[in-house]
Amino acid sequence: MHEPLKGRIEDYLQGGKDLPDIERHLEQCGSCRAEVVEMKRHAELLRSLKVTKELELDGRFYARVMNRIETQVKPSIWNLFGESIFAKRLAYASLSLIVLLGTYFVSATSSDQQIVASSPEVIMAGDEQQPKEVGTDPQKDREAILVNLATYQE
Amino acid sequence: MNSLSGVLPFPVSGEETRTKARVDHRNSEEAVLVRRVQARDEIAFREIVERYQTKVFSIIYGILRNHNDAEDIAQQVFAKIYFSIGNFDFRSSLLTWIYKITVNECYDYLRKKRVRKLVYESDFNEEDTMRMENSESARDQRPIISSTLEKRDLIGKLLSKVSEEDRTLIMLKEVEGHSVEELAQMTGMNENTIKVKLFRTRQKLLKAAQRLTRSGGPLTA
Repeated sequence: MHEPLKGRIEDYLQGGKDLPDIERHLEQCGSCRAEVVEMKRHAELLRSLKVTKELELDGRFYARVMNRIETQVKPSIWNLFGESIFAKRLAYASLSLIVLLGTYFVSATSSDQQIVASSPEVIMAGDEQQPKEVGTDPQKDREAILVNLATYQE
Repeated sequence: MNSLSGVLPFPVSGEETRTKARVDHRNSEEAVLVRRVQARDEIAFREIVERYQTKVFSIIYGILRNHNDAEDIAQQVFAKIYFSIGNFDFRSSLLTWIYKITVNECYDYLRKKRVRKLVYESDFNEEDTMRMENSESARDQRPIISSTLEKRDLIGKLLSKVSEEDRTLIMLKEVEGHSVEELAQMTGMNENTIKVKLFRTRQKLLKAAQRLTRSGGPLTA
């Protein structure tokens, strides 16, 4: 579409009468004329969507809307916690339990980590510091001798 | 023909372009009603339903031409209004916002159902159809019915090719018959912006019609 029409086509389609330059251009320009004819046809098609007869909904329409809303409301679990005293107490009790379990879990994990972190060298080094009771268990004595032999350095 | 996507110049300054003061949608009587609904006032919501139900129903019926579907979608429109009115920001009028929701619901419905040919019952109800089918002049009237259906089918397809905003605007202009000035007040945009948007939408519709023609779609209306 050419410049003279672009900015003013709405005025023209709306039925603007004092637009001789547009009319002159349309008389001379076939492509613009074809576009305007097509635009008018679309406008006419759109106007066919207009309902002219009186349409009435019955008095129970609002009730049906509310029913639909109720079916679409998703009950939230958080609503339960916000409303009753029992639910609030339950929430506090659950929170306390979570804290206790959390503390236990953290302490249990740290003791496990100590075991995991102990390498044979660490255990053996620790054994050296502990007082050795020799002669109480022959099996342990044999193991202690073997460890001493294996770690002996001049 | 020049490029269709070129930037549209604003109308010449010498031209009489009346730009009225913007309507303040925040301080209208409607806004008070909306705020009440936002504060979960059910009576206010009922007022909105009762005030707009006929309008909403007519818009849907105009597009679908089926009473049962129109009623069903109208209920869904008000349910959507109920759930999303908290997001209404008063930039446009309440009617414009409701209109947009309504038209979108119709096109969502059409897309979901993949309706190619709609059954329009408004012009011809069951009794009329039966009578027409049995009458002597049935053969003569069939082309008229077919033409009406084709027209609506075509415009439905064309409108589905433009954006939600463009669709709402062109329908408010052509179907509802609002002037550019009224649209500017309803949407909070200025008149020149409305004109540009309408012009571009018309061009998109032209392009969509050309594509339909090339792909062997409906040629006549």
